[in-house]
Amino acid sequence: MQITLQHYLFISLFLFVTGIYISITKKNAIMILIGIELILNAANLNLVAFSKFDADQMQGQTFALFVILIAACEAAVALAIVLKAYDYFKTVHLNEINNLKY
Amino acid sequence: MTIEIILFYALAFLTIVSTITVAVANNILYAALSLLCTFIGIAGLYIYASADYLAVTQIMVYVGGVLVLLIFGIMLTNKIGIKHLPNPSANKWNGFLLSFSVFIIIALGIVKTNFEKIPWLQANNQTEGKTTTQIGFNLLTTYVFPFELASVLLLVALIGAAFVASKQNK
Repeated sequence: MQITLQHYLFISLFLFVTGIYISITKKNAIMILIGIELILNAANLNLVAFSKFDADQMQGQTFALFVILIAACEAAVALAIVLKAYDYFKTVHLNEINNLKY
Repeated sequence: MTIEIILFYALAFLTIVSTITVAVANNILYAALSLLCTFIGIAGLYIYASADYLAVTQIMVYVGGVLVLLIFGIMLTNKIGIKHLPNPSANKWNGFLLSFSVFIIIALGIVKTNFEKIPWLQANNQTEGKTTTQIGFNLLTTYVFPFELASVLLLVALIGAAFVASKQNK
């Protein structure tokens, strides 16, 4: 009994699927951001798991670093937009934000 | 069944259970707090895949940065004084059906793939020990252009977020 690649793949698959579920079903914009973070984490877990077999170059781990960076940027900008939308609409529930322009 | 294997399964269990909690929690703050457990569990799994540097980065960036930002966002978009922060959902069954079918499809793909036929997965040349040196070499030789581009992107995101969230621009 040892830890194989499939273990990682199944854990990251579960994270990915839950991220999709959260992004689809939740009404709160911040929950949707949380779902996207979960999806990005699932991708990272896959990259790191495959990078275990690439001892010379470790391309997977290097790429995962850039994914973490993009995720941080995305969270910052998206939260700024959510705060601005809350100022304007007084809600963050996406089903109530339904007009493009007054 | 050694202690490492048991620890691995404990970490996987922590990750999966806290992910489910994120999906079903009624209070949005509880969802954010169980996201913390998910991130810590993933950092532990990174260590098992011998990615120690990434595990530390995961804890510093996600737990120290992104999660704090998300909790700030939750606090700023709810009226102060509400004890229960509601977390409504819509289309539960459709979302469940879609994500479950995606799960089935990809799981079939993983199960049916013959990993023994892929040569570089069988090379028996696994990453061990310290990875920070190799990542540092990678970042400043092969990937130096994406690295510099990333710094510009961070600057742009910082300025952009500050500009969008400021009150002055009409």
